[in-house]
Amino acid sequence: MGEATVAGAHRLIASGPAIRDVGRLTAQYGRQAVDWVKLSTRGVSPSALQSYAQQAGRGAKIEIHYYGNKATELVVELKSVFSSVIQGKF
Amino acid sequence: MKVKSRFRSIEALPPDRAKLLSRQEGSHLFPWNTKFAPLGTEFIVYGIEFVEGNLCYRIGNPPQEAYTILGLAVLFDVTDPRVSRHWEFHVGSDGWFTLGPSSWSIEFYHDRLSDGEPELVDDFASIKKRFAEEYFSANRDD
Repeated sequence: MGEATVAGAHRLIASGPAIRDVGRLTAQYGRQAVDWVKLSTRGVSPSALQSYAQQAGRGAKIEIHYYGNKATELVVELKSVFSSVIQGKF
Repeated sequence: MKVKSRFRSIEALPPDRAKLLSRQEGSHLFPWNTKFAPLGTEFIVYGIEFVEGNLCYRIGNPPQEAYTILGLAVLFDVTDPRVSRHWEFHVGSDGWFTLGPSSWSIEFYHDRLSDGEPELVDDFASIKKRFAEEYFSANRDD
């Protein structure tokens, strides 16, 4: 997946060793485990991604989850997540 | 324990609070803000962790609280200082420690919960219910 810029109110889900994929992230993108965070946001750029996800979910609320590197501000592996899926209502 | 968001970001902190922050060389705390909810929003604290030497509250991701997020403690005021009877102390294999419900000793709990793993979604729903009942009961007894 590509790299991206994310704007909006970041929400910190997990940091460093508390991230399940932190070993793969350090191997693939570099830096140390403590530099990586898992974040979510509801205001995301590019807007096309948000629009696509909303259409796919037929109006369901979505969030974007992604990994960020605090040292480099690199953002990778964005994925859209439907809130109703997280809450087990799908 | 309950807290209420008071400051939007670390840049908005007055000097007496800012001095409580632990700033490590090379770290950039870009997610440290409370923009995820209106200022003054009250949260139940489901657990406590330290990230880069900073005290953080594990709170529900507003508004649905489908999973948890970390809030930097200095951005909040404590509105109910009573600690939960459901809290246990966990030390992970990586040396990080957490004060929280017993099920949080499961590896990568919060990461996996945010991915919607069914058993953890059910567990966190149960945690929220237990904490809500605890506060309801405690307030009734006061």
